[in-house]
Amino acid sequence: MSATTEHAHDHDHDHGPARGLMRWITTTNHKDIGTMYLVFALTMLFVGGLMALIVRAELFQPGIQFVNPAFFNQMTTTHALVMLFGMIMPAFAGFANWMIPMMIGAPDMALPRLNNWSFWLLPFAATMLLSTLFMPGGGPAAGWTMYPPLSLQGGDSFPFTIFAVHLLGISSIMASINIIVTILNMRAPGMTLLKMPLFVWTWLITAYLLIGVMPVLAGGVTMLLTDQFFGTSFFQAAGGGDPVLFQHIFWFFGHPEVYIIILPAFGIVSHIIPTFSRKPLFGHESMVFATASIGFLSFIVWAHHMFTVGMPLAGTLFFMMSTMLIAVPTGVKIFNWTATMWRGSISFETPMLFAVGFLFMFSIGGFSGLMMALAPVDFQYHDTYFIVAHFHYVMVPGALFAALGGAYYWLPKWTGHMYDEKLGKVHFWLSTIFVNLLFFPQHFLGLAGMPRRIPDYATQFADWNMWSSVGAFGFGFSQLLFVYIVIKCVRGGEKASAKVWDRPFGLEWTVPSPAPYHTFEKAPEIK
Amino acid sequence: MHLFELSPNCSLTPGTATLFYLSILAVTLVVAGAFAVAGFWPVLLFAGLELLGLAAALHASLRRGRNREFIRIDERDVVVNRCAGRRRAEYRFARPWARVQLQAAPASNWPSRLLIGPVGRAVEVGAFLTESERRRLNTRLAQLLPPAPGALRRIVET
Repeated sequence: MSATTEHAHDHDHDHGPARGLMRWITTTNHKDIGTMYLVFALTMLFVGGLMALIVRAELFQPGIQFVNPAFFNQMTTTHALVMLFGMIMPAFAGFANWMIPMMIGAPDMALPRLNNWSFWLLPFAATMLLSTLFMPGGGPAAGWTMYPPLSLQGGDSFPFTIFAVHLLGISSIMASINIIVTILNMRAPGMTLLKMPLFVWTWLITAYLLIGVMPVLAGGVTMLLTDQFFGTSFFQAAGGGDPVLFQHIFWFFGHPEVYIIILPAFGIVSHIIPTFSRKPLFGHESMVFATASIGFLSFIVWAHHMFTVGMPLAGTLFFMMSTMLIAVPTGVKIFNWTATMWRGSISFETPMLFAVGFLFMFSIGGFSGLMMALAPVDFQYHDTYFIVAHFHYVMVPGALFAALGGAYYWLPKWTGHMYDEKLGKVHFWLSTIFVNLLFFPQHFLGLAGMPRRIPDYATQFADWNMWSSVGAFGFGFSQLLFVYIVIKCVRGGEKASAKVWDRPFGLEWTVPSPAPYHTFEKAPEIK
Repeated sequence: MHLFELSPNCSLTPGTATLFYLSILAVTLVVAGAFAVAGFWPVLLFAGLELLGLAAALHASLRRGRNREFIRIDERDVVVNRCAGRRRAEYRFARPWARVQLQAAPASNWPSRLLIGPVGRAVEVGAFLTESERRRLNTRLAQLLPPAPGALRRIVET
């Protein structure tokens, strides 16, 4: 053996990452891939956010101001697709990659090469989706729901959008399979299923949901494609098909998708609140069962998106009742988080602020969801700005706030430095004020009858639209502060200890900060 | 005589894997089957592909979890028995010629390789171990077998 080999062996003890671009292209390390997911998601937040700002700029005043209606529709559609598939899902996949192996005491994900591939599909899929904006006829403009026959009337962008959705779906499926196998197979000795941290549990159930519903989306969009190019008539009334059935297919995927996004957020909040309340999570097992119940119920409520389409009374009643049932396990979660804080020694560092903000504002989104679960009143709210307000309360101060809270919570563990607490709090308060200014007036607009997806509106809606647009720009620019805080934290700052916080719970706090490139090479024993 | 049994950490049991897979199979097939009956057969096609992917991943994990390697070192021989799925292999070396060598990774984030046997005919052991486990095994084996020439030189140098 040569001396060179031995020399390399000395380096091998460090076993750090390779240098240069190839590190990121070829990496199979869960931390590298987690970082890439998070950076990609943050980039997409600004891409999708820019589209939202174009929409809000146009809606600042009644009348056509900046863009034509066709481009407006492209912006609303692409904003939704980018934010859902390109931003929030990859963000939680990034958290999963970083944290699941560290939480279960595993050295890496179970299928590292698959992990690399599932990430690298994303930039190509996103590029393909965004490139449609430059094609003849522009990008997709039929809404993220892609309802036929409208979606079939798109320009050249149509097949590219479908293909991009397929690629994004494949990426999600591969990530899910990897997460399932990692959680089932790579747990440290002694870590039984019920001892798993809540974030791991929520991701296991999320992955299960993804496996259950992704084929439905894939099949649905493929049938759109064959209807358009191969002469089939799955959804074409002229050929004996039924476009309403696409709505059933889409929402069978689309409703669980909401939970696919929000369950990991629940998991993150379930870590932050106990840490800053300095108490273990109240009712760990009931949280697991509540999450599983939400997962189950998410499969049987899809048609509440379609009350106005028309269905038998029994169907309406079933979907109304089953939707309202979801409030029960969700309520269990809200009460458990509140009970965790009860008589805790609470401090309000930035992650806790975001978690408490999540708790309040997600509840607003939940309650407006309950209102729309009632079929008779849904007829009034349907396709108005009320629903826009509802789902944005779930997605932004809900899922996004949980992700931001999680980023602040684990940033010292990732980088080895404490972030700027003062700026973090400024970021929280700016975000909270502007996000409410952005979305709360949309409830009033919806109740007053303003339809969604329109570039122009009656003057009676002008005031609240103006406030909403001011909120949108404020919220958008506030997120630049987050980028600054992250860059500042990566570049330096006060050194973080292994535990980082006063009383954190979980294996990830037993490794140094920043977490070494390879953690848990010797499996920890869980008691 | 010294006997080492090497096995990967694997928390997945065949029972858990079967139960989990059957549950997800049932849910997915009920959903996809219902759509297929309604005429939307492509859903079933995608569901089948996805379930095959999950089955392959679970199967690979279970198979990897069953991997075993036995290293027996007695006064005359070093015997390596390798059981990977149905495949069985046995390598036998004369102990005086057997060497142990921890070979550096070809790239810095790849795993190292632990080789045992005469120089030129050595076989790899503990490929499924983590880095630190492999290094500890190397240290233990080096107490029983002479290190390979390069490794010996390093020890002298340090």
